[in-house]
Order: sequence, then structure tokens, then C-alpha cells
Amino acid sequence: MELERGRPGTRTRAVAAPAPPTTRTLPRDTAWVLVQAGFDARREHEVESRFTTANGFVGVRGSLFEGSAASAPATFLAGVFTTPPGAASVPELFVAPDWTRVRLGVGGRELSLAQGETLEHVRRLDLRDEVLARVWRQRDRAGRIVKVEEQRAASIVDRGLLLQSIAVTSENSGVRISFEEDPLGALAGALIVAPGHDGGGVWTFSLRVPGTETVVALALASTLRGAQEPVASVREGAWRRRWDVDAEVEGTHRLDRFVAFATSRDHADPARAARESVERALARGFAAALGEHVRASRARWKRLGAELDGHEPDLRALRFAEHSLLASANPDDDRVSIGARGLTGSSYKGHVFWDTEIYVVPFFALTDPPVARTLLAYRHHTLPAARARAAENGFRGALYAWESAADGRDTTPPFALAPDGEVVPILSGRLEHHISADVAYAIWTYWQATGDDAFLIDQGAEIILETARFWASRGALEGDGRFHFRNVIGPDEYHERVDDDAFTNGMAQWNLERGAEVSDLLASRWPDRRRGLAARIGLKDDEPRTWRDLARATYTGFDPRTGLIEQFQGFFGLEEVAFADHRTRRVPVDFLLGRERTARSKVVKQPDVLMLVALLWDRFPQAVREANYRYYKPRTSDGSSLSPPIHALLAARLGEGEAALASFEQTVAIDLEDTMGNSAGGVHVGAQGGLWQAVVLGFAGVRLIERGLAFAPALPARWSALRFPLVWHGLRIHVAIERDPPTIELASSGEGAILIALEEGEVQLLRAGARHVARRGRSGWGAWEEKPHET
Amino acid sequence: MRPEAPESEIRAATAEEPCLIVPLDGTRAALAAIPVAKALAAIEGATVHIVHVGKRGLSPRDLLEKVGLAPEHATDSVLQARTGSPAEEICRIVRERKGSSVVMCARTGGPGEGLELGSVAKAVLGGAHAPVVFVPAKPRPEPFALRRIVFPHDGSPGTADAIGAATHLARRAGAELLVLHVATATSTGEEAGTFPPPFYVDQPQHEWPTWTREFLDRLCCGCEAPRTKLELLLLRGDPADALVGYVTENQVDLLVLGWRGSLAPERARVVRSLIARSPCPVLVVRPGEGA
Repeated sequence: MELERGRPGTRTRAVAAPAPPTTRTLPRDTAWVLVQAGFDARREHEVESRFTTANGFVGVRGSLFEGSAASAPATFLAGVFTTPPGAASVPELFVAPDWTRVRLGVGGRELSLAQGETLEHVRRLDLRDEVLARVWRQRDRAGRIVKVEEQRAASIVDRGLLLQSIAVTSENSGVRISFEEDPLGALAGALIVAPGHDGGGVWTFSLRVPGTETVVALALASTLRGAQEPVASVREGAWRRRWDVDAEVEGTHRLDRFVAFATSRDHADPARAARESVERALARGFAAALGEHVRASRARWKRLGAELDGHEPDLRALRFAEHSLLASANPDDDRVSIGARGLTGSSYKGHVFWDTEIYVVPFFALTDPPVARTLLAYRHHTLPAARARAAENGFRGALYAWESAADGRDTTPPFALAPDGEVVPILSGRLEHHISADVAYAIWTYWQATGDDAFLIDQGAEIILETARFWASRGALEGDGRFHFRNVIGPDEYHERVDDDAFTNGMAQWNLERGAEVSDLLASRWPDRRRGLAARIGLKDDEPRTWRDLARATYTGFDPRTGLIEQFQGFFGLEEVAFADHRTRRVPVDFLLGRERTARSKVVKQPDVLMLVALLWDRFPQAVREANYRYYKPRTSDGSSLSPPIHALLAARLGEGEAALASFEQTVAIDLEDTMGNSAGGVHVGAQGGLWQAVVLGFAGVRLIERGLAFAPALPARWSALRFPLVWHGLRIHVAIERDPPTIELASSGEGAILIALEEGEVQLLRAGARHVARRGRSGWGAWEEKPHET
Repeated sequence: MRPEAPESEIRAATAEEPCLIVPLDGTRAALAAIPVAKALAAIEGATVHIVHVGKRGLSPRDLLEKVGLAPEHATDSVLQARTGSPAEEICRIVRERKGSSVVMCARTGGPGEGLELGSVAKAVLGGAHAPVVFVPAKPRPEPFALRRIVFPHDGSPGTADAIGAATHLARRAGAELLVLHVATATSTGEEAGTFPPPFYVDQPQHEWPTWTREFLDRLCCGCEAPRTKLELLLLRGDPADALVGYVTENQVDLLVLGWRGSLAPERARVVRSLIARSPCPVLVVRPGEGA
């Protein structure tokens, strides 16, 4: 039967019993599914992170809907932050009310995993459908067995909409089943600014985010379907609602819940927006609303998904990586970026780092450019804060915050209280300036890949010019005639306050060059726009020339005798310290050695010189790439989740197959096995982006070249094939690589043409609708051959 | 020590009324257990049972004389004289009195006893199947009071159960409870489900609070009433050395140790070392024996 919507206590009409909701969505291909069987309270937080359902606007951790002592449920809304009281507090993602919470009563007793005997408990995250399903069979202390099946999804059709279905089947007894929802729980009293509204079957509540003017509205409608009519449908207090049904043996009753969030960031009347979202879904019905989401998700995978043959766990890991990236980004909101843990956990407080530009944007720039554009637009929206930050520090141009939240101001906590009692001053917020060049790099990469001139003219150029201007003021031309950047922190944060960090200098140099190039580009192609922009930002005519001169004079630390780049001045004179690798070591090297000794040693936290080599690959001869890889890789302790994927990428490109696979596996395990011990706080979105890069930019060897793409496939022995889509200037290219015999095939669709190359070989034109195949023989890759397009 | 009852509840006298069994062998060292037992009994609402196991039975007065205890120091205590094997009799009393715990000197300097656990203490630990508090033979000079409890934890599920006993005691005594974890350089083989130190600390301002919270959450997730505020301190180095060093250099009144039940050399090095070297009493709790 179906309750009359929003009218608790009214009689209802009977409808057909619902079909079991979960079986339909389980794909046969297990590489699409993450499975968590059983329940381990001690590991529940990491499971909740992994099984998050999110769509870039809202993220819901995969917590048990009925709750448990081990549960840490949370619903996050992108861009909605709150700042807790306290002098040293910084903004953190607001945790919205736990709308998922439903208490189940069986024979008057609350059903939980902690009471009685669990006969079956499985959670499955279907990556293809983006649906979280759960099957739970519990025998209570009286011997009654009930089966509970839940489905949960964050719609990618209507990003405010969340769907949850809970079906309860009494397997061996006729018993009273109760469903009780309490969407606001203990939060209600403190936060409610607009009381509930239950007109038209939809409840709405508006909450003010503490310490802000932001209003979050939640709308909710629930329908109960089943063979029996409810004997009671009760509204208890302002927010709580309960249904009681006398279930017969094998009778199923299903509570379908439609929930929508909307915020005052997006809507003048968020309550109305949330309510309308729920009403639209209600009008379609649960199955239709879920079906739309599933179809959209499958279509998205068809468009963006990469595939590999030969090793199912690697394929699942690759899909999980893409899933994590897709779940973190909202193509409809260009004022938010992606926090270090996306919308999957509270760790890192939702703060945005360089992870987005360097690790995440490449995936979107090469597969779904509109999403990349929204992520980069966040940096344009926050450009005023970056300008202010540069000025506050005595510099010109734009200095992006190391950590930022809604408005781009620096949100880096000033210190960390380590559990060994040490108060660690955090200098990255003050000195880790390479992020400004990283932002410029991502914009340039996006423009190269897309040819999106409008974005470059309207937003990107301004950022590249302002960051170049920052670097010109940040460095100093010294007596040796070199341009130095002193007192900085590079990606290797084990060494603070260093002079001429290789990555910082290299990226600053690149940024200065691009600033000049963009200035010239604007002048030649869009002179009016350049004049307008120059006037607006006060760009003097001689600034770009100065940038070029400073770039030429930039100190690089390169030693032509060895081919090595010194990571910073004095690095080569530091102490050599051997450390166990990740397979046997169990604590951070800097913790074992202590911060001071680590700083005096050659132990590197994460790629720094090698990061520069990875990003600016074409600037370095092969001998230099190899020399630096051999030197720095053994000295790098993988002190960040961002470290292994870059090592995998580089090793793959350098033909170090075993090392590449080892680093790839290390990346996979970060979240799927929680090997770094911190997945409880959320999935490492940057590392997932890095995993995709390791596959596509590493094992497939994709590189952006002038007017096209280069490929250098080197698949691991356990992969027989790799296939993935790319988008270049609107042209869609499907790449298929076979390992034995080594073959690469490119098939294009859409419009335009692209230059394609293999390794460092000659380029060839690939036109839309064409198919090119190349084979590798004993003497290397042969020439591209054009083939008829297969239909 | 025993399942917690509401603070206001007046318990009915039953055969399972909690008691603290204090074996005394007549040595001066053994008497070190008395002030600790009395303090714990006051906290627990338990009765102290002073036990002597000898070759012949003793009257209460003779027992006091034999163990070297003045009558005024035995106030509110029950005196039990038994004959037979000391360890077997102590274990028998524990079996007879459910909900009991043992408070005893770790080694009293009897024949053949070096720095390790004494033979009776070792046998009681292995056979009593009850929480045992080992008191050092040379306790600190100041009167025993339970103000600061330390719970060393290696992150393994098998020893996490004992946190229940620690939180229970901390609540009853109003004591501070500190969890100590020692990070070691390399993995030496761990119990499944062990929560290790973080493999890396990328941004310490974020990683350390998250890891600390998760460590304590996992530790307490099997604890029914984790209402006690817990603090975590992370140490480096060899676990036994680091823990003994901390306890020696800081004012710690009681160590609470989770123990899997084996005293095999390769299995219980830290437990044996702490019992032998700790300057403060050590409560050893096996899974299922704590609160």
C-alpha cells in the first residue's frame, strides 16, 4: 500500500507488493562492484569512506542507516563550510543532518547488528550504476528472521536529489515492522531557521550553517509500499515519523525515500528548490527517478570509462579511481573545487590543495573538459583572494592559498598537535608557493587539450599573467646573475625554508615563460581583449619581456656533468639515511628520524625533482630523466598518497615495468585496502587522479604535444589490453592498446583533426572519423596505418 | 575489574560480591600489595581477602603474624589460610569467587626469583583467568592513589578489550586515562585487524588529528560505555623500553595491559617486561575478563 503523501496518520490504499530492490542492479561483471561482506566495527569508518555515494554536489558516507556505535555518518555539501569556535579554527565542511537514519522495529525491538545473530550482511557499491546496495539478514533474539535490502544513490540527473529505499521482509514470522525516520536528529533544535513544512506530501526544513549566512534546506518525502496496510502512521514531535505494519510471513514492505538538499549559495529560496526537486522525483516515482540516474551513470561510463583486460582487480581499481573523480566534481557549479578527500570524509576539512590542478584536472581535461573548466573557474573566482594574499606578503600578482575553502582565503591550520606531544608549526601555508604555478599549469594544460579560447581569454589568461607577475616579485636577481627563489617549501615538505627548490623554481620558470607567451598570444589574436585585460590588472608593456629574462636567469640546480638536478641548494651535502620501503616499514620516516634529522637528511617525502620531470617531461633529455629517477626514487619515502602514482607514471614511461607496477599497486591499495591507515577520513581523490594518470599518461604514455597527442604504450605483463577515451579539441578519440602483439589503434569521431605521434617519432594527422593502427616490431613502433572505420 | 553497576545502586550481598584476593607469602616484599589492594577495593566497593597458603592451616591471628601484618592493617579484610600449592589454591579461590581479581607482588624474592615474574605470580597469571594486578616489590614511597592510568595499546583487536577495564577504573576513581602507542620502525607480523601507526603523515595538521581519532575510535568500538575522556600519546622505539621509560619518568599510578594469554617468550615480551620493570602496579586483563 502507499501512504498518502505527507499526511501521517491517514489511511492508505493497498498496492502491489514491491519487488526486491537490490537484485536488479547487481551486474554480472564483478569488476564493476566493490563488495564488503560482514561487519567489522573497527574498520567501519574506512568502509564508510569507500562506499560513499556522491555526485559532486552532495556526498553521503556509506554508513549503516540504522546506525551503530561504530558508525560515523555524514552528508557533505560541496562549498558549504562552517568554522568551529576557537582562535586557531579554520573552515571545515559542514556536516548536514543525517537524513539516512531510519530505525527499524521488529516485534517492538529495534533491529541492529549488535542484537541477535547476523546471518548475512553485504554492501555492494555498483560503480557502473553509482548505486550502493546492502543486503542484511538478521535473526533477533526471539528467532525471527528479517531480510533488509537497501539501495542508495546520489542522483547525477538532479544533483540535489538523494534516493534511498529500504525493503524489509519477514522471513519466518508474522510480526509488526516499524519504520521510523528522524531526519534532523539532535541537530534540529540548534540549527533550524525555518520550521517544517509538510504541504503536498513533502517536508522541508531550513537550517542555518553555524557561523555563516548560508542556509541549507532539506526536503523529504517517503512512501511506504507493501502487502499490508499500516496499523499506525504517526508523527512524533516536529520531525519524527513512524509507520507500523503487521507483516505476514514473507511479506515485504518498502520505504522509498526522496530527499533533496539545496542551499542559499545556489538558490534565493533553497527550501522551495529542495521541495521542487523532491516533488519532481515523486511525480516520476522511485523506480523512474532511480532509473534515470542509472541510465545517466551508465551513459557517462560509456563516454568516459577506461577498460583493461587481463587483471580484474586492476580494472576494478581503475574504475574506482574514475568513480572517485566523477563523484567529486559538479559540472554545474564553477565556484567550488575538490577537497583532498572529496565529499567522502571530514579529513582535510574539505580544503582544496594543489591536488585538484595537478592530479585531478588532467583526467577531466582529457575526458570531460566542461568539468575541468568548472574546477579551474574556482581559481578565477578566488583570484581576488590570491591577489590579496600576494599583497599581504609583500608580493605582486596572485599567490594562491596552500589550502582554501569557499572564498580562496588561506585556511591552512597554523600548527599541528602531534600525538607524540610535539606542537608542529605548519609552514606550508606561508611558504609552499608552487601552488600558484600549479594552477597556471593546469589552465595551460586544459587550454592545450581543449582549445577553449573563450576560457583562456575570459579567465585563464588573467590567472597565468597574475601568477607570472607573482613569481617575478617573489624571486630575486642576485649577484651571480641568477634569479633565485629563497625560503620556500617544495612538494618535499620534509625540507622547509629551503633555497631554490627544484620544483618551485622549475614551475616558476615555466610560469614566467607562459605569462609572456600568453601576453603575446593575446596581443596577436585578441588584441582588444589584451588591452582590456592589461588595463584592468595594470599590466605594463615591459612586464612580459622582464618575465622572459627572469625565466632565462632562473636558477635550476642542474649539473650537466651528472645530469642531476639538485633538489635545493645544499641537498647533495645532506646525510644519506637508508630506510625500509613501504612493504615492511610501518611509520613515516620523518616520525622515526624526528623532524630535525629528517631535514638534515636526503630523505624525500614525495617527488619534487621527479614531479618536475613528470610535468615538464619534454624539457628534459632522456638521460636526465633517467639519471634523476635513479637518484631520487630510492630516496623518496612515499610520505604522501600523491607520491606512488607519480612514481608509477615515471617508471612506466622510463621502461621500468616492475617498479611501475609496484607503485601502481601501492596506489591502488591506499584506499581499497587502507594501507596508509587513513582512509577512515575519506578517499584520497588526488591519489585516484594519480592512478588514472599512471594508467593513461604512464602505461599508455599519453603526452600533449604541439597540436596533438603522443603515445608510448608499455603495458604491464598482466594486462593484455587497455582501452580508454580521450577528447582533444572536441575530437573524441578511442584508444585501444593490445599487449601481444603490441598494437595501438586510434579511432576518432566528432569534428576536426589531430596530430598523433608514437614515442618521439614523427607525427601524423588523424582526421575525424578515421582509424589509425600502429604495430611494434623488433625495431620499434612502425608507422601509423590508416584503416577503414569499423562500425 | 567487574561489570559496572550504576553509581547509585546498592548491591545486594551475593556470592559474587567483588573481592580482591591478596596472596601474602610472609615476605616483606609481598606486603607491597596491601595498600594497592585497599585503594582499589575502596574504588570498586570490593572486599580484600588476605590469603596465605602454607603447609599447615593457620588461625587468623597466626596468619597475620605469619605474613607480618599488623591487625589494624587488616581492617575490613577477610583472612583466609589455605594449605597446598600456593598458585593452585589462589586460582581455586578465584574460581570459587566469581568477579574476583588478584592483587599480588610480581616477585617476592623467593628462591630462584630474579628480575622476571615470580613463579607463583606466573602461575597465577596463567591459571587464574581473572584480572591480576602485579605490584612492584619496591613501590614508590608515596601512598598509592589512582589518579593517572596508562593503557598501552599496540592497535590490535586482541588487546583492545582491556580498555573496558581501564575506562571502568578511570570512571570509578575519577582518574585520568592515557593511551600509549609505541610506533616501531618495521612491521613484525600483526594480528589481523590491527590498526597501525600512519604509514605517512602527509599534511600533519590534518593527518594527526584524524589518525588519533580513528585510533581511539577503533580502540573503544567494542567498549559498551566509553564515556571516559581518552588522550593518546605516541612514542617511538622499542615498545617495552619506551613504555617503561615513560612510566618511570612520569607520574603513573597504574598500567592496564591487555594480554592474549600466552607467556611464550616470543609472544609476551612487552607484557613480561612491563610487569618486571614497571615502577607502578600493572593490571593484566585477558579478553573477556575486563569490565
